[in-house]
Amino acid sequence: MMEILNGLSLGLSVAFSVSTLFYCFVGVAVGTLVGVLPGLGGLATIAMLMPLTYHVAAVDALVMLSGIYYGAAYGGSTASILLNLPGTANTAVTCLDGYPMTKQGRAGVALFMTTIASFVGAFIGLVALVGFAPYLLAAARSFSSQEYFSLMVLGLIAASVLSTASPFKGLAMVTLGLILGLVGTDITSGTNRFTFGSLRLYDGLNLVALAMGMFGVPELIANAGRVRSNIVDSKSITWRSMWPTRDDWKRSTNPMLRGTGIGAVLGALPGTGGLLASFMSYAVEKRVAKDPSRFGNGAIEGIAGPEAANNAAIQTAFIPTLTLGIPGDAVMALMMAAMIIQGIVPGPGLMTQQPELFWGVCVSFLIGNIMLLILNIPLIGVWVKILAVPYWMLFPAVVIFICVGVYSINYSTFDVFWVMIFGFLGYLLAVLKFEVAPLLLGFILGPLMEEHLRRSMLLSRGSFSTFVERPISASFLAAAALILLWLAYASLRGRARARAAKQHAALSE
Amino acid sequence: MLQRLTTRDTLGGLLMIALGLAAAVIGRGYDLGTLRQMGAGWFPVALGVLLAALGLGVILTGRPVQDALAPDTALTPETADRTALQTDGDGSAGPSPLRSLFFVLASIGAFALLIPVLGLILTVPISVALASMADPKSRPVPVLLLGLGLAALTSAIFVLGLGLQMDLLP
Repeated sequence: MMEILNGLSLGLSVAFSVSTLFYCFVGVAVGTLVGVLPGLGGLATIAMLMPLTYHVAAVDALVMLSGIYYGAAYGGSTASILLNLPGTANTAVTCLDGYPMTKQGRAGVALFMTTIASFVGAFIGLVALVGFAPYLLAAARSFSSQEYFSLMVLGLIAASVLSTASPFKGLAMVTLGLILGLVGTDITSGTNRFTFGSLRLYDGLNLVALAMGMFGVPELIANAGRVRSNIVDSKSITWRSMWPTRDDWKRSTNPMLRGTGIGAVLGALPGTGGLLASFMSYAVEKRVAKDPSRFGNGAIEGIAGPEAANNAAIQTAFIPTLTLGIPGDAVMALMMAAMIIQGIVPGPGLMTQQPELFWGVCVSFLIGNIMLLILNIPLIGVWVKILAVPYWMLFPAVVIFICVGVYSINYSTFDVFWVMIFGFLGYLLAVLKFEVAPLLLGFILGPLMEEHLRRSMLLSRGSFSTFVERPISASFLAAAALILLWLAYASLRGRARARAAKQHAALSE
Repeated sequence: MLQRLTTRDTLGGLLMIALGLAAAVIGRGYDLGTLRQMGAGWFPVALGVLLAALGLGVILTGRPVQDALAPDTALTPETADRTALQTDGDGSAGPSPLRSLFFVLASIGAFALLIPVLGLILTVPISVALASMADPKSRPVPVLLLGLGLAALTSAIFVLGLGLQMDLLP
């Protein structure tokens, strides 16, 4: 307990420095902006702003990037509620009841309540992060290479199969990412792998070029030339219209708390995160409701629960990244890459060697969430106006920021060409309905995973059984196997049902 | 049978098999080492074989053609991403994606070719013009103004603000 208090006071002193406050504000403001704008996701934006972080201090870089991540979750609900367009995928479920509320003239209440729910979720999630991280860290100290390797296997399997439509496609993407991560000089043997004789590939593929190409470019292509037809009247959202009734408060409190619980647990697990949490919270609220038919017709429980869940999950997602050095999803993987670029190794050593970084970032989350409260309630009109910015202005601007950003890292036009190549590949994969987020996760974990595999095999003198002989490692692998078995069972049952339905239909004809 | 060959999942699976085999074949060229001391080739070969196997899985579990064409309208975590990306408020689609693909990539390529020669202030408007061609409704004057505005903005942020060593003019 004392440790946590000391940490918090250290964090306060870091987070309240002028430059950190500034980058925190930039992060949450940019996050809200991209969250509000549909078609520009948090992931692409974080990739886009990564080059900037090469030029600022490590704490500030992390504070800014995380600000984008949780800021986008606040902003995403605004577009969902007003336009029935999810600003980010995680807030898609907010459309279901948020947009009907707008049609009933209750947009103000919906915006107010999602902001409050987001804050509550984020705050409790943050408490969980600060409370659990030290304990997890103690456990992590006993981890050896075998445990890390097995944990990565679990994380990659969970991340690729739980949130994608086809498990095989998700796993294929992770594997492809792992292979791409191996490009360059192998540190152990000095062999140059997959470089095709190009000197410039010795350092590996450029992460920022890959992330921007794979995420930014396909998003741009999908959205270019889109017309925005729904213009919202920002004057209609007044202070008075935002204040929820006593009934709204009463209906929202429990869903918010339940959503936070669901989000906090799912967020800390690898591979699940905010998207699954928000959908699960919605399903739970619908099930416990006295009158489930209200859902889909503007039930305030249907926005309060999922928003709290999403934001709680975002906070607890930092737990495995910061304590174990194992990111649970693609955004966290980017965050980890940003740390590595700064020379920081995320993992058990982080809290002891650089406590000011860990605690500074944690405290900045609190400050950032308070800033978001201000940005999203009194200043909501500004964001609503931004929804009216025409897309023809926005997408060339994004293209330019991508190009200048990538070029600025090494002043290398080679890297900019790689954005083009990855952009094409990313588009191709999107057309073939492969999701690229698992690929990014694999790309970042590839070298690390190989290193732990080699070290484990060296320690065990070439025996794979070491992974199941060590209890913690074995339990990670068992969990991974369970996920795969459950999926196989679910898919077989689904096929059998479809066949039965077909036969039944054929018989009744 | 021919239809079966051209579904998204079949093509995607074949692509994964090709990439996996390529990685495995190239990986065979590096030292495999032993299980105790793995060489540079062990992990790439293992991953390549795994990727090819997963590609086969994608093909075998792929959806048949009729299914692939039917739009999923249900909002599930799987479709949420796509909804966030592709639909507009009224569900209208944008211009041809191939046109967008070509001009967005051309805009990036032009930037890479021109930035060392022309400097930021001239390169940005050219790239903006190319990117804007993705939208068939774009008009020249607003695009030019946008290009100049972005040239000023990026110069201000990256060169004046962050102090990057980039040429502004040729």
